[in-house]
Amino acid sequence: MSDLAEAFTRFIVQQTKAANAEVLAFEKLSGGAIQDNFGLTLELKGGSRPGRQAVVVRQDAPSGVPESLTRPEEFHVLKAAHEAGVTTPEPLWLCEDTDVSGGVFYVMSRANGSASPKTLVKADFSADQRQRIVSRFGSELARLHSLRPPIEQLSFLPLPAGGDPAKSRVALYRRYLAAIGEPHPVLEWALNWLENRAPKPGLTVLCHCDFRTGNYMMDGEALTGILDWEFAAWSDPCEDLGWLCSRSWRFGADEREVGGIGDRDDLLKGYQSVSGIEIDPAVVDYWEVMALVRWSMIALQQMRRHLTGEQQSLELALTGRMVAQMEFDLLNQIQELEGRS
Amino acid sequence: MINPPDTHTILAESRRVLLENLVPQLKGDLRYDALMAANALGMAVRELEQQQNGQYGQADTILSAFLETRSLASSPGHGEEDLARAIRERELAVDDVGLQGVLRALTEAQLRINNPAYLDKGR
Repeated sequence: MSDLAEAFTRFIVQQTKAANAEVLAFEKLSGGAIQDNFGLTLELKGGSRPGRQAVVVRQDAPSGVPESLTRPEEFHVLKAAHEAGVTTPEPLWLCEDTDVSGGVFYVMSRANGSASPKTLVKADFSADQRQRIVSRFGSELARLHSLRPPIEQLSFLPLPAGGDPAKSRVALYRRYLAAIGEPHPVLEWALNWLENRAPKPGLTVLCHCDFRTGNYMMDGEALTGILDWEFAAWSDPCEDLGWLCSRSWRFGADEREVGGIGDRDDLLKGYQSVSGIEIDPAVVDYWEVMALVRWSMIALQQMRRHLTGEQQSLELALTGRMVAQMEFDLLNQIQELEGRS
Repeated sequence: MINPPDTHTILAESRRVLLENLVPQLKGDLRYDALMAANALGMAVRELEQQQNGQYGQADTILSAFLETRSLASSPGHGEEDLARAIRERELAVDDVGLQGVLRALTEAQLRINNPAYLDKGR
Protein backbone atom coordinates (compact mmCIF):
# COMPACT_ATOMS: atom_id res chain seq x y z
CA MET A 1 0.00 0.00 0.00
CA SER A 2 1.30 3.46 -0.83
CA ASP A 3 2.30 5.98 1.85
CA LEU A 4 -0.61 8.17 0.77
CA ALA A 5 -3.17 5.38 1.15
CA GLU A 6 -1.76 4.63 4.61
CA ALA A 7 -1.93 8.32 5.59
CA PHE A 8 -5.53 8.72 4.40
CA THR A 9 -6.56 5.47 6.10
CA ARG A 10 -5.00 6.48 9.42
CA PHE A 11 -6.88 9.78 9.21
CA ILE A 12 -10.22 8.07 8.48
CA VAL A 13 -9.69 5.59 11.33
CA GLN A 14 -9.05 8.54 13.64
CA GLN A 15 -12.20 10.35 12.47
CA THR A 16 -14.48 7.31 12.73
CA LYS A 17 -12.78 5.81 15.79
CA ALA A 18 -12.79 2.50 13.96
CA ALA A 19 -11.01 -0.38 15.69
CA ASN A 20 -9.43 -1.56 12.48
CA ALA A 21 -9.32 -0.73 8.74
CA GLU A 22 -8.47 -2.89 5.76
CA VAL A 23 -7.66 -1.16 2.46
CA LEU A 24 -9.51 -2.94 -0.35
CA ALA A 25 -8.56 -0.58 -3.19
CA PHE A 26 -6.61 2.64 -3.73
CA GLU A 27 -6.15 4.45 -7.04
CA LYS A 28 -5.47 7.89 -8.43
CA LEU A 29 -8.56 8.97 -10.34
CA SER A 30 -8.38 10.61 -13.73
CA GLY A 31 -9.38 14.22 -14.30
CA GLY A 32 -8.83 17.16 -12.00
CA ALA A 33 -6.08 19.41 -13.40
CA ILE A 34 -6.20 21.51 -10.23
CA GLN A 35 -6.70 18.75 -7.67
CA ASP A 36 -5.54 15.21 -7.22
CA ASN A 37 -8.41 12.83 -6.59
CA PHE A 38 -7.91 9.40 -5.08
CA GLY A 39 -10.41 6.56 -4.83
CA LEU A 40 -10.10 4.64 -1.57
CA THR A 41 -12.19 1.64 -0.55
CA LEU A 42 -11.91 0.49 3.04
CA GLU A 43 -13.47 -2.13 5.28
CA LEU A 44 -13.88 -0.49 8.68
CA LYS A 45 -14.47 -2.48 11.86
CA GLY A 46 -16.34 -0.66 14.61
CA GLY A 47 -16.51 3.10 15.02
CA SER A 48 -19.07 5.50 13.60
CA ARG A 49 -19.12 4.10 10.03
CA PRO A 50 -18.56 0.35 10.20
CA GLY A 51 -18.46 -1.72 7.02
CA ARG A 52 -17.34 -1.07 3.48
CA GLN A 53 -16.62 2.58 2.71
CA ALA A 54 -15.96 3.84 -0.83
CA VAL A 55 -14.62 7.38 -0.58
CA VAL A 56 -12.81 9.95 -2.68
CA VAL A 57 -9.95 11.96 -1.20
CA ARG A 58 -9.42 15.31 -2.84
CA GLN A 59 -6.06 16.98 -2.33
CA ASP A 60 -4.39 20.07 -3.81
CA ALA A 61 -2.41 19.46 -7.01
CA PRO A 62 1.04 21.11 -7.34
CA SER A 63 -0.52 24.31 -8.71
CA GLY A 64 -3.90 25.90 -9.33
CA VAL A 65 -5.59 28.73 -11.20
CA PRO A 66 -6.40 32.04 -9.48
CA GLU A 67 -10.16 31.55 -9.53
CA SER A 68 -10.20 28.26 -7.64
CA LEU A 69 -11.19 27.88 -3.99
CA THR A 70 -8.92 26.32 -1.39
CA ARG A 71 -9.78 22.78 -0.29
CA PRO A 72 -11.31 23.96 3.05
CA GLU A 73 -13.42 26.53 1.21
CA GLU A 74 -14.52 23.95 -1.33
CA PHE A 75 -15.43 21.58 1.51
CA HIS A 76 -17.66 24.22 3.12
CA VAL A 77 -19.38 24.97 -0.21
CA LEU A 78 -19.96 21.25 -0.78
CA LYS A 79 -21.45 20.95 2.71
CA ALA A 80 -23.79 23.89 2.13
CA ALA A 81 -24.95 22.49 -1.22
CA HIS A 82 -25.42 19.00 0.23
CA GLU A 83 -27.48 20.39 3.11
CA ALA A 84 -29.62 22.36 0.61
CA GLY A 85 -30.59 19.05 -1.01
CA VAL A 86 -28.33 19.22 -4.06
CA THR A 87 -27.17 15.80 -5.27
CA THR A 88 -23.49 15.83 -4.33
CA PRO A 89 -21.10 13.34 -2.80
CA GLU A 90 -21.51 13.45 0.99
CA PRO A 91 -18.77 15.66 2.45
CA LEU A 92 -17.24 13.69 5.34
CA TRP A 93 -14.04 15.11 6.85
CA LEU A 94 -11.62 17.93 6.19
CA CYS A 95 -7.94 17.67 7.10
CA GLU A 96 -6.00 20.93 7.23
CA ASP A 97 -2.97 19.41 8.97
CA THR A 98 -0.40 19.07 6.17
CA ASP A 99 1.69 16.71 8.31
CA VAL A 100 -0.89 13.96 7.67
CA SER A 101 -0.32 13.49 3.93
CA GLY A 102 1.75 16.46 2.76
CA GLY A 103 -1.23 18.57 1.70
CA VAL A 104 -4.66 19.79 2.73
CA PHE A 105 -7.38 17.34 1.72
CA TYR A 106 -10.96 16.32 2.37
CA VAL A 107 -12.85 13.06 2.18
CA MET A 108 -16.26 12.57 0.60
CA SER A 109 -18.42 9.61 -0.37
CA ARG A 110 -17.84 8.16 -3.83
CA ALA A 111 -20.69 8.61 -6.33
CA ASN A 112 -21.54 5.65 -8.57
CA GLY A 113 -21.48 5.71 -12.36
CA SER A 114 -19.53 7.67 -14.91
CA ALA A 115 -18.65 11.31 -15.51
CA SER A 116 -17.04 10.64 -18.89
CA PRO A 117 -18.38 13.15 -21.44
CA LYS A 118 -17.69 10.66 -24.24
CA THR A 119 -19.83 7.98 -22.56
CA LEU A 120 -22.64 10.35 -21.57
CA VAL A 121 -22.93 12.23 -24.85
CA LYS A 122 -22.88 8.99 -26.88
CA ALA A 123 -25.32 7.19 -24.54
CA ASP A 124 -28.44 5.90 -26.24
CA PHE A 125 -30.97 7.85 -24.15
CA SER A 126 -34.55 8.09 -25.41
CA ALA A 127 -36.17 11.51 -25.92
CA ASP A 128 -38.10 11.06 -22.64
CA GLN A 129 -34.94 10.16 -20.76
CA ARG A 130 -33.14 13.20 -22.16
CA GLN A 131 -36.02 15.39 -21.07
CA ARG A 132 -35.97 13.92 -17.55
CA ILE A 133 -32.18 14.22 -17.23
CA VAL A 134 -31.91 17.89 -18.21
CA SER A 135 -35.04 18.77 -16.25
CA ARG A 136 -33.29 17.21 -13.23
CA PHE A 137 -30.23 19.38 -13.94
CA GLY A 138 -32.54 22.39 -13.80
CA SER A 139 -34.12 21.33 -10.51
CA GLU A 140 -30.68 20.65 -8.98
CA LEU A 141 -29.49 24.13 -9.94
CA ALA A 142 -32.69 25.63 -8.53
CA ARG A 143 -32.01 23.94 -5.18
CA LEU A 144 -28.42 25.22 -5.22
CA HIS A 145 -29.60 28.71 -6.11
CA SER A 146 -31.91 28.74 -3.10
CA LEU A 147 -28.70 29.54 -1.17
CA ARG A 148 -28.40 33.33 -1.06
CA PRO A 149 -25.98 35.63 0.75
CA PRO A 150 -25.27 36.18 3.55
CA ILE A 151 -24.44 32.65 4.78
CA GLU A 152 -21.99 32.61 7.64
CA GLN A 153 -20.07 29.44 6.71
CA LEU A 154 -19.60 30.85 3.18
CA SER A 155 -18.41 34.30 4.29
CA PHE A 156 -15.11 33.74 2.43
CA LEU A 157 -16.95 34.07 -0.91
CA PRO A 158 -16.82 37.69 -2.11
CA LEU A 159 -19.98 39.36 -3.34
CA PRO A 160 -19.91 40.57 -6.97
CA ALA A 161 -18.41 44.06 -7.18
CA GLY A 162 -21.10 46.73 -7.31
CA GLY A 163 -23.76 44.05 -6.89
CA ASP A 164 -23.44 43.38 -10.63
CA PRO A 165 -22.29 39.81 -11.40
CA ALA A 166 -21.98 40.36 -15.16
CA LYS A 167 -19.93 43.55 -15.05
CA SER A 168 -17.90 42.21 -12.18
CA ARG A 169 -16.99 39.17 -14.33
CA VAL A 170 -16.08 41.41 -17.27
CA ALA A 171 -13.74 43.45 -15.06
CA LEU A 172 -12.19 40.26 -13.63
CA TYR A 173 -11.54 38.76 -17.06
CA ARG A 174 -9.98 42.01 -18.27
CA ARG A 175 -7.58 41.77 -15.34
CA TYR A 176 -6.84 38.13 -16.16
CA LEU A 177 -6.20 38.96 -19.80
CA ALA A 178 -3.83 41.79 -18.84
CA ALA A 179 -1.96 39.42 -16.51
CA ILE A 180 -1.65 36.74 -19.20
CA GLY A 181 0.23 39.31 -21.24
CA GLU A 182 -0.42 38.08 -24.79
CA PRO A 183 -2.75 39.79 -27.26
CA HIS A 184 -6.19 38.23 -27.79
CA PRO A 185 -8.20 40.71 -29.88
CA VAL A 186 -11.24 38.41 -30.10
CA LEU A 187 -11.45 38.15 -26.32
CA GLU A 188 -11.09 41.95 -25.96
CA TRP A 189 -13.89 42.36 -28.52
CA ALA A 190 -16.12 39.82 -26.75
CA LEU A 191 -15.52 41.55 -23.39
CA ASN A 192 -16.66 44.85 -24.91
CA TRP A 193 -19.79 43.12 -26.21
CA LEU A 194 -20.42 41.62 -22.77
CA GLU A 195 -20.02 45.02 -21.16
CA ASN A 196 -22.38 46.67 -23.66
CA ARG A 197 -25.01 43.95 -23.34
CA ALA A 198 -24.82 43.25 -19.59
CA PRO A 199 -28.28 42.41 -18.22
CA LYS A 200 -29.66 44.37 -15.26
CA PRO A 201 -28.49 42.73 -12.03
CA GLY A 202 -31.11 40.43 -10.60
CA LEU A 203 -30.80 37.77 -7.92
CA THR A 204 -27.41 36.88 -6.47
CA VAL A 205 -27.21 33.20 -5.56
CA LEU A 206 -24.67 30.48 -4.85
CA CYS A 207 -23.48 29.22 -8.25
CA HIS A 208 -21.44 26.11 -8.89
CA CYS A 209 -19.73 27.86 -11.83
CA ASP A 210 -18.44 24.62 -13.36
CA PHE A 211 -21.57 22.47 -13.66
CA ARG A 212 -21.18 20.90 -17.09
CA THR A 213 -20.91 17.50 -18.74
CA GLY A 214 -17.76 15.94 -17.28
CA ASN A 215 -18.39 17.33 -13.80
CA TYR A 216 -21.38 15.22 -12.78
CA MET A 217 -21.76 11.49 -12.31
CA MET A 218 -24.55 9.50 -13.93
CA ASP A 219 -25.54 5.92 -13.27
CA GLY A 220 -27.76 5.08 -16.23
CA GLU A 221 -30.15 8.02 -16.41
CA ALA A 222 -29.80 8.79 -12.69
CA LEU A 223 -27.71 11.73 -11.58
CA THR A 224 -25.59 10.46 -8.67
CA GLY A 225 -23.41 13.43 -7.85
CA ILE A 226 -22.41 16.92 -8.94
CA LEU A 227 -18.63 17.21 -8.61
CA ASP A 228 -15.83 19.79 -8.68
CA TRP A 229 -17.00 22.72 -6.60
CA GLU A 230 -13.74 24.68 -6.62
CA PHE A 231 -15.10 27.57 -8.73
CA ALA A 232 -18.28 28.19 -6.68
CA ALA A 233 -19.19 31.87 -6.30
CA TRP A 234 -22.03 34.27 -5.61
CA SER A 235 -23.38 35.17 -9.02
CA ASP A 236 -26.34 35.46 -11.35
CA PRO A 237 -28.34 32.19 -11.59
CA CYS A 238 -27.94 32.35 -15.37
CA GLU A 239 -24.17 31.99 -15.03
CA ASP A 240 -24.70 28.30 -14.14
CA LEU A 241 -27.41 27.83 -16.78
CA GLY A 242 -25.30 29.49 -19.48
CA TRP A 243 -22.19 27.52 -18.54
CA LEU A 244 -24.06 24.21 -18.75
CA CYS A 245 -25.40 25.17 -22.19
CA SER A 246 -22.14 26.57 -23.56
CA ARG A 247 -20.97 25.20 -26.90
CA SER A 248 -17.71 24.15 -25.24
CA TRP A 249 -19.44 21.42 -23.22
CA ARG A 250 -21.54 19.70 -25.90
CA PHE A 251 -18.69 17.39 -26.90
CA GLY A 252 -19.67 17.20 -30.54
CA ALA A 253 -23.44 16.92 -29.98
CA ASP A 254 -24.00 20.58 -30.84
CA GLU A 255 -27.73 20.19 -31.47
CA ARG A 256 -28.29 19.22 -27.81
CA GLU A 257 -27.70 22.53 -26.08
CA VAL A 258 -27.56 21.25 -22.51
CA GLY A 259 -24.16 19.59 -22.23
CA GLY A 260 -24.73 17.52 -25.37
CA ILE A 261 -27.56 15.73 -23.52
CA GLY A 262 -30.85 17.56 -24.06
CA ASP A 263 -32.81 20.72 -24.78
CA ARG A 264 -32.54 24.05 -23.03
CA ASP A 265 -36.33 24.45 -22.72
CA ASP A 266 -36.47 21.32 -20.56
CA LEU A 267 -33.62 22.60 -18.40
CA LEU A 268 -35.44 25.88 -17.80
CA LYS A 269 -38.74 24.10 -17.09
CA GLY A 270 -36.98 21.90 -14.52
CA TYR A 271 -35.48 25.01 -12.99
CA GLN A 272 -38.84 26.73 -12.77
CA SER A 273 -40.55 23.66 -11.30
CA VAL A 274 -38.41 23.98 -8.14
CA SER A 275 -37.58 27.69 -7.98
CA GLY A 276 -40.79 29.16 -9.35
CA ILE A 277 -38.56 31.50 -11.37
CA GLU A 278 -39.17 31.93 -15.08
CA ILE A 279 -35.75 32.44 -16.64
CA ASP A 280 -35.38 34.80 -19.61
CA PRO A 281 -33.64 32.74 -22.35
CA ALA A 282 -31.95 35.91 -23.64
CA VAL A 283 -30.08 36.21 -20.34
CA VAL A 284 -28.94 32.60 -20.67
CA ASP A 285 -27.70 33.46 -24.20
CA TYR A 286 -25.67 36.28 -22.69
CA TRP A 287 -24.10 34.01 -20.07
CA GLU A 288 -23.30 31.42 -22.75
CA VAL A 289 -21.09 34.06 -24.35
CA MET A 290 -19.59 34.83 -20.93
CA ALA A 291 -18.92 31.10 -20.55
CA LEU A 292 -16.84 31.04 -23.74
CA VAL A 293 -14.78 33.99 -22.50
CA ARG A 294 -14.33 32.42 -19.09
CA TRP A 295 -13.23 29.04 -20.46
CA SER A 296 -10.76 30.90 -22.70
CA MET A 297 -9.31 32.62 -19.63
CA ILE A 298 -9.01 29.35 -17.73
CA ALA A 299 -7.38 27.69 -20.75
CA LEU A 300 -4.83 30.51 -21.06
CA GLN A 301 -4.08 30.32 -17.33
CA GLN A 302 -3.62 26.56 -17.57
CA MET A 303 -1.24 27.01 -20.50
CA ARG A 304 0.75 29.54 -18.42
CA ARG A 305 1.19 26.94 -15.69
CA HIS A 306 3.17 24.88 -18.19
CA LEU A 307 5.02 27.78 -19.81
CA THR A 308 6.20 29.21 -16.49
CA GLY A 309 7.44 25.79 -15.38
CA GLU A 310 4.94 25.66 -12.53
CA GLN A 311 3.66 22.30 -13.78
CA GLN A 312 5.14 20.54 -16.80
CA SER A 313 2.31 19.04 -18.84
CA LEU A 314 1.63 18.60 -22.54
CA GLU A 315 -2.08 18.66 -21.76
CA LEU A 316 -1.83 22.08 -20.09
CA ALA A 317 0.34 23.40 -22.93
CA LEU A 318 -2.14 22.24 -25.59
CA THR A 319 -5.04 23.81 -23.69
CA GLY A 320 -3.64 27.14 -24.88
CA ARG A 321 -4.07 25.99 -28.48
CA MET A 322 -7.77 25.33 -27.82
CA VAL A 323 -8.48 29.01 -27.26
CA ALA A 324 -8.85 29.59 -31.01
CA GLN A 325 -11.90 27.27 -30.90
CA MET A 326 -13.54 29.35 -28.20
CA GLU A 327 -12.70 32.52 -30.12
CA PHE A 328 -14.27 31.04 -33.25
CA ASP A 329 -17.41 30.13 -31.26
CA LEU A 330 -17.49 33.65 -29.80
CA LEU A 331 -17.42 35.24 -33.24
CA ASN A 332 -20.20 32.97 -34.48
CA GLN A 333 -22.36 33.20 -31.39
CA ILE A 334 -22.20 36.99 -30.97
CA GLN A 335 -22.87 37.53 -34.66
CA GLU A 336 -25.81 35.12 -34.45
CA LEU A 337 -27.24 36.90 -31.38
CA GLU A 338 -26.79 40.31 -32.99
CA GLY A 339 -28.55 39.02 -36.10
CA ARG A 340 -31.50 37.97 -33.95
CA SER A 341 -31.87 41.30 -32.10
CA MET B 1 21.78 23.28 -44.76
CA ILE B 2 20.00 20.54 -42.79
CA ASN B 3 20.51 16.98 -44.02
CA PRO B 4 17.42 15.23 -45.37
CA PRO B 5 14.88 14.17 -44.28
CA ASP B 6 13.64 17.66 -43.48
CA THR B 7 11.83 18.66 -40.28
CA HIS B 8 8.38 18.28 -41.85
CA THR B 9 9.12 14.70 -42.90
CA ILE B 10 10.53 13.78 -39.48
CA LEU B 11 7.52 15.20 -37.64
CA ALA B 12 4.98 13.67 -40.03
CA GLU B 13 6.66 10.26 -39.82
CA SER B 14 6.84 10.43 -36.01
CA ARG B 15 3.14 11.18 -35.95
CA ARG B 16 2.39 8.24 -38.24
CA VAL B 17 4.39 5.85 -36.01
CA LEU B 18 2.55 7.10 -32.94
CA LEU B 19 -0.89 6.74 -34.48
CA GLU B 20 -0.41 3.54 -36.46
CA ASN B 21 2.01 1.54 -34.32
CA LEU B 22 1.78 2.76 -30.75
CA VAL B 23 -1.75 4.05 -30.10
CA PRO B 24 -3.47 0.72 -31.01
CA GLN B 25 -1.25 -1.06 -28.43
CA LEU B 26 -1.95 1.38 -25.61
CA LYS B 27 -4.80 1.79 -23.15
CA GLY B 28 -6.04 4.33 -20.63
CA ASP B 29 -3.76 7.23 -19.68
CA LEU B 30 -0.91 6.05 -21.93
CA ARG B 31 -3.19 5.96 -24.98
CA TYR B 32 -4.48 9.42 -24.08
CA ASP B 33 -0.90 10.74 -23.78
CA ALA B 34 0.08 9.23 -27.14
CA LEU B 35 -2.98 10.74 -28.86
CA MET B 36 -2.15 14.12 -27.34
CA ALA B 37 1.43 13.91 -28.58
CA ALA B 38 0.18 12.95 -32.06
CA ASN B 39 -2.19 15.90 -31.98
CA ALA B 40 0.69 18.24 -31.06
CA LEU B 41 2.83 16.84 -33.88
CA GLY B 42 -0.09 17.40 -36.27
CA MET B 43 -0.13 21.08 -35.33
CA ALA B 44 3.61 21.38 -35.93
CA VAL B 45 3.27 19.64 -39.32
CA ARG B 46 0.45 21.95 -40.43
CA GLU B 47 2.34 25.03 -39.28
CA LEU B 48 5.36 24.00 -41.37
CA GLU B 49 3.15 23.24 -44.38
CA GLN B 50 1.62 26.68 -44.19
CA GLN B 51 5.04 28.29 -43.99
CA GLN B 52 6.08 26.33 -47.09
CA ASN B 53 2.99 27.07 -49.19
CA GLY B 54 2.87 30.76 -48.36
CA GLN B 55 -0.43 30.58 -46.47
CA TYR B 56 1.30 31.39 -43.18
CA GLY B 57 1.16 35.10 -42.51
CA GLN B 58 -1.80 35.84 -44.81
CA ALA B 59 -3.95 36.84 -41.84
CA ASP B 60 -1.18 39.14 -40.64
CA THR B 61 -1.24 40.86 -44.03
CA ILE B 62 -5.01 41.38 -43.72
CA LEU B 63 -4.46 42.70 -40.19
CA SER B 64 -1.71 45.14 -41.26
CA ALA B 65 -3.87 46.51 -44.06
CA PHE B 66 -6.79 47.00 -41.66
CA LEU B 67 -4.61 48.78 -39.09
CA GLU B 68 -3.21 51.03 -41.83
CA THR B 69 -6.67 52.07 -42.99
CA ARG B 70 -7.65 52.93 -39.40
CA SER B 71 -4.31 54.66 -38.67
CA LEU B 72 -3.72 52.24 -35.80
CA ALA B 73 -0.41 50.65 -36.82
CA SER B 74 2.55 51.31 -34.54
CA SER B 75 5.54 49.04 -35.06
CA PRO B 76 5.93 46.10 -37.46
CA GLY B 77 5.30 42.67 -35.94
CA HIS B 78 3.02 44.04 -33.22
CA GLY B 79 -0.23 44.02 -35.19
CA GLU B 80 -2.21 41.83 -32.80
CA GLU B 81 -1.06 43.89 -29.82
CA ASP B 82 -2.08 47.10 -31.62
CA LEU B 83 -5.47 45.60 -32.50
CA ALA B 84 -6.08 44.29 -28.97
CA ARG B 85 -5.18 47.68 -27.48
CA ALA B 86 -7.42 49.57 -29.91
CA ILE B 87 -10.37 47.32 -29.07
CA ARG B 88 -9.69 47.54 -25.33
CA GLU B 89 -9.54 51.32 -25.52
CA ARG B 90 -12.78 51.39 -27.51
CA GLU B 91 -11.20 52.93 -30.59
CA LEU B 92 -13.02 50.23 -32.57
CA ALA B 93 -16.73 49.54 -32.10
CA VAL B 94 -18.08 46.05 -31.42
CA ASP B 95 -20.32 46.23 -34.51
CA ASP B 96 -17.48 47.37 -36.84
CA VAL B 97 -17.88 44.96 -39.77
CA GLY B 98 -14.27 45.47 -40.94
CA LEU B 99 -13.02 44.62 -37.46
CA GLN B 100 -15.15 41.47 -37.35
CA GLY B 101 -13.69 40.37 -40.69
CA VAL B 102 -10.12 40.77 -39.39
CA LEU B 103 -10.92 38.93 -36.17
CA ARG B 104 -12.38 36.06 -38.20
CA ALA B 105 -9.33 35.94 -40.49
CA LEU B 106 -6.96 35.78 -37.50
CA THR B 107 -9.02 33.11 -35.75
CA GLU B 108 -9.41 30.95 -38.84
CA ALA B 109 -5.66 31.14 -39.45
CA GLN B 110 -5.07 29.78 -35.93
CA LEU B 111 -7.63 27.01 -36.42
CA ARG B 112 -6.11 25.94 -39.74
CA ILE B 113 -3.07 24.97 -37.67
CA ASN B 114 -4.60 23.93 -34.34
CA ASN B 115 -7.80 22.18 -35.40
CA PRO B 116 -8.85 22.54 -39.06
CA ALA B 117 -11.91 20.29 -38.58
CA TYR B 118 -13.35 22.88 -36.20
CA LEU B 119 -13.70 25.39 -39.04
CA ASP B 120 -16.56 23.30 -40.47
CA LYS B 121 -18.65 23.98 -37.33
CA GLY B 122 -19.11 27.58 -38.31
CA ARG B 123 -20.17 26.90 -41.87
